[in-house]
Amino acid sequence: MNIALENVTKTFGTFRALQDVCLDVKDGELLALLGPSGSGKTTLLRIIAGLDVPDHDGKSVIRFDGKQVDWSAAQQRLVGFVFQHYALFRTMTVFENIAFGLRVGPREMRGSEADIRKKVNDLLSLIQLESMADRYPSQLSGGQRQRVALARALAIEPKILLLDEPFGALDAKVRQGLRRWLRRLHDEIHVTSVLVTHDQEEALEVADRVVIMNAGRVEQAGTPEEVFHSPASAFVMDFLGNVNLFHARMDGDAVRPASADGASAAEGEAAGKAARILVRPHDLDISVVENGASVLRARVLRIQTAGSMVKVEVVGDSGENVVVEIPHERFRSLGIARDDLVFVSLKDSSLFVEDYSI
Amino acid sequence: MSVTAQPAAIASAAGTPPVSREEPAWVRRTLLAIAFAFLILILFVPLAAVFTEALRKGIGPYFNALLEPATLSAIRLTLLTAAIVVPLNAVFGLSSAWLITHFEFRGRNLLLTLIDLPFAVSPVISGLIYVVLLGSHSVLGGWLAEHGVRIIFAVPGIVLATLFVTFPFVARELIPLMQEQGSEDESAAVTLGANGWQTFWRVTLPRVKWALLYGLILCNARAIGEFGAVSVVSGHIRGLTNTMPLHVEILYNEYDFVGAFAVASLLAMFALATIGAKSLIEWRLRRESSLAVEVQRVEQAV
Repeated sequence: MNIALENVTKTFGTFRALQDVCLDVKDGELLALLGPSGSGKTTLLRIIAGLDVPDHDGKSVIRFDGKQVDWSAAQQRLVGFVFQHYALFRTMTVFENIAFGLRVGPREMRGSEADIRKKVNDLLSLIQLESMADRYPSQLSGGQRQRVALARALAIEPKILLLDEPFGALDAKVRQGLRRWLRRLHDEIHVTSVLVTHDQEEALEVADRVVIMNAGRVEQAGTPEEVFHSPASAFVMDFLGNVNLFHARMDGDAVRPASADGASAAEGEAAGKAARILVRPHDLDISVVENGASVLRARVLRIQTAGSMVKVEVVGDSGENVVVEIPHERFRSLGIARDDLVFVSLKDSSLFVEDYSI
Repeated sequence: MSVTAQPAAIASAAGTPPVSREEPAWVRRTLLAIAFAFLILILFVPLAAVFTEALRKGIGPYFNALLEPATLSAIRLTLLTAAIVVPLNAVFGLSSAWLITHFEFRGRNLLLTLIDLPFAVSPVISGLIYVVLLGSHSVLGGWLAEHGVRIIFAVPGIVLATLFVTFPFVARELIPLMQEQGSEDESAAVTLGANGWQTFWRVTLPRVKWALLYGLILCNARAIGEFGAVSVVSGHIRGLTNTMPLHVEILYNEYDFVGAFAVASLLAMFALATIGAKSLIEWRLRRESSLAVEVQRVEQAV
């Protein structure tokens, strides 16, 4: 089922949680809503589910498959919702939790006890917890609880599955396993899914498309490749991974160091336009001799070799902290050590230049 | 990472070694002795005295005193009052706790304060408020009297006054629990297609049932034992508007000590039963929460 949101605005008191959000979720895709906390992503999810209503400003429209659902109650929307803290019914067994949605529907829609039993058992085998049917939620681990919550949401055969930070409360290892499992599950059942997360790695790994939100607005929507490699704003670039921020001058298309060559403010006009540059650590390089591409003269502060890349932290002449990631071979050939003087240069790939004027 | 916490594992994890305290033994023994002496003097001696006085003339007079028509009527009225007040307060308490914990509205803090009001004012004042509001000299009371409805110095007044002084028990017990539990479970039930009624009976009520029962037991104890507020509105009409606590006072003032202490012993037995039920429920409540905590601890350890 396809979801279309038009001009959704939501205000809590004086706080504007969502501002004219427009969003399309295609049938069968897994879309991630990514943003820092307070960016409105959970509110948006609750509005899709019908647990919250958008402001009555006459502009907002929510459509499922073209049909407007603004006024239909959460019970009627057939939307599966998975909560961050599982929200399992602690007074019921795993079996009864999953069966809940099958027992409360309109009487004529409810199956027989045998149908319910079969369906719940199928779901239990889908989440690989057949042996846990009679346990209570308090007797399960976090990962198991989240799988039960997912099975409970799937039991009503929802046309849309909404997941609110589903792995947020789990430790890193379980989280990784579960999200791969979720991706495989989605490839099997193809239910239109929206996943809310503040973890960029999770969004980029799992989703077909990523929507990045900030302060109640959509900053950018696109495939993981698009948003990662061509961010539409400094915010997106910053949010999708570590970035370095330093000041430099733009001389046409070329970047010149702002301070290393001693260009004073008076000479600024001649030396080019002031700019704020955002670059990912792996898009920078280090050399021991100054060359034409150098943008920063700096001193090595720390070297961290544990990991797939060597992380070199340097401090520029005017005090800016910059992190550079270089391959191990490159590091060995450089032979640099703490307190050495180095020059940082840009590789050709993506950087984000902001207009910057005081 | 498939952790299956067995009860045995939980028990062993729970049995942490006692923390050793560097207090000399005589300090501990003295403190214990003081505490016990105090308890015996303040609680146990009076309780024993009630039963001794009641049985002073033997078991026969004791039962005869209890079977007096006026005494039986006082017992009936007290039970009737409790039977009306406790269910009403269950409904009021549940709905006000629900309102306060699940909605943000103007006057929420005022409502919270009002719930505490009966605890804050003296019960005699609570009774007087009803006399002033509904007595035969008031506008409302006069109008009601013209239509043949008597509230003050009659059973409805006793029920109202008792309702007022016992109102906070259920709400006060439920509010912190509901606040802690939040409303995610209810949201989950709604997205699964449950209507409001189903959500309440299947999700909300089972989660708070022990706390609710706890509040109801306290409410019931107070409803049966209330003296001050009821005394003001009752009018002390023997056989008609006398509750058990009021009846104890009347018998005592008439030097019918066996009768007074016999009724008092019923109240005392009821109090003991309440304490028993209360600790049973407390134990259940604690067990449920500590079980959850233990499972989490075992999980993290593995």
